[in-house]
Amino acid sequence: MPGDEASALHIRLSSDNEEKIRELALQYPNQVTPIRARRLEGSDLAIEVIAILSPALMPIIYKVIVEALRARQHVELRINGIKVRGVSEATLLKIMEKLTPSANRAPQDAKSKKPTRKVRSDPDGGSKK
Amino acid sequence: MTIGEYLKYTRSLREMSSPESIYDVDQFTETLRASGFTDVHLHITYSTDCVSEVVELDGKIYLVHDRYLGQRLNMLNRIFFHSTEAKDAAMYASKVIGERLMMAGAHIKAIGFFSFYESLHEKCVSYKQNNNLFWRLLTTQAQEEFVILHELAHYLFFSRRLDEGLITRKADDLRESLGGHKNFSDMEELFVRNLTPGLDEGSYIRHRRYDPWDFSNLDAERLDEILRQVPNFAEECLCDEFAVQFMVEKLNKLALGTEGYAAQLDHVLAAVPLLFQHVEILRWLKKIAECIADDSPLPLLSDDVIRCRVFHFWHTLRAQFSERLFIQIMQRENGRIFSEKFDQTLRTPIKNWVDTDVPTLLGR
Repeated sequence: MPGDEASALHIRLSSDNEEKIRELALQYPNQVTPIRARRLEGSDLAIEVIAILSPALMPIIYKVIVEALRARQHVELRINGIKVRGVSEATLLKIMEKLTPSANRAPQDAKSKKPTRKVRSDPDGGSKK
Repeated sequence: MTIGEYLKYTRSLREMSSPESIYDVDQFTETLRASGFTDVHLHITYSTDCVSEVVELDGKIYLVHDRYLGQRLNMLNRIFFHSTEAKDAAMYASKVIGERLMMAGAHIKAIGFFSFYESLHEKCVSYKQNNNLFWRLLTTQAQEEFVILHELAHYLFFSRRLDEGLITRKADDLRESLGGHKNFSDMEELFVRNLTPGLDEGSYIRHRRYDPWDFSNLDAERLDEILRQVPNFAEECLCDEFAVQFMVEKLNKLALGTEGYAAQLDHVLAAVPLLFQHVEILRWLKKIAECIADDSPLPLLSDDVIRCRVFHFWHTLRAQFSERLFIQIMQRENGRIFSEKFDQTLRTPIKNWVDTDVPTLLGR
């Protein structure tokens, strides 16, 4: 995925977070999309959401995930399709730091195709060879 | 969010379209139209994730089928039907684990597995044999069709064309069906014996000796736990049931009364428990990759949730049950040794690979 595109987090949480995610989707309709999905192999986690990151949304998403982790809930996280191993507060902080430059844009631009200036090179950018 | 964006954000896509597959999706879409599902559009992906799913985004419902999953099933069927050497299973498993490691971002570890895969690939020949070709292809087709139909049933629940009350009733029915039985094994034996009175004790014991799915540790308590803890378990069972019924009806329309009908029906039905076995293996390989990525202990090959669904499938089949089918399924399920083969063949090498540094692996 090119570095100038917004990073997307695919988050899976337990059903305890349903209300929280619904409110976030109302607040950030262009960036937070709750999804309802069924897959053949099933899943242990009932709530799923795609969050297109912007500087404004990032701390809010961080808070939701950290609260779930502190409540000892299982959390699954993917960035642009790549699964994050061992989701913890520490790894989450690192991820947020890494994603900040590429997400330096206004929330409304999340879906826009217009390229945004990169502050510095994106360390991962979600790109995969 | 569009379905295209969703697929891009959630998958390691290889391509948006895919090479030809054994399963004819266009023909399937025609079948759906003929059955009245005119508005259902199938989105085809070809991704390392191998995920077929139904997804609701911004109030719209999409049915997605991944052709790479079909290829995986075909390869597992190849190994199941033709392979005579344990290394075939290890070869393919190392490829699957390598891909899963890539998806978990553990690229260096993945290289070790791909290297092992490459070193074995040339040497493995037995799985490439094409005896039993017709039955293997029929099995893969039936399995891929089952996957799509299973997701279609979810689609119908999502779009409220199937009554959600059915799900509650299914959960109650599952709980009730175990009443008075010690465990699933006990119950399975009773209904197999009732439905196959012609089967002599010798054949029965011969076919049951491996206790392929080992239902003995599944009881009412465990089922209740699964119903409470696994979201949508009853819905999954209902969708399995819908898929099987649809497949039987389709075959009835095509071939009922023809000479090969009975054999085809048996193969189509027996393909489903084999699919569950494949799903269990793929889940297990995925867990192995995640554990290797995290440096945590390797998991055992055991999945109560899948086994509960196999048990439910047995129940669903009661109307079609015959001694002939029983033997067919038992012969297939004896192939569960095949999954044990995966386990035994892989456990030691995996441990060695994990303990070996990559340069040593590459230098082999």
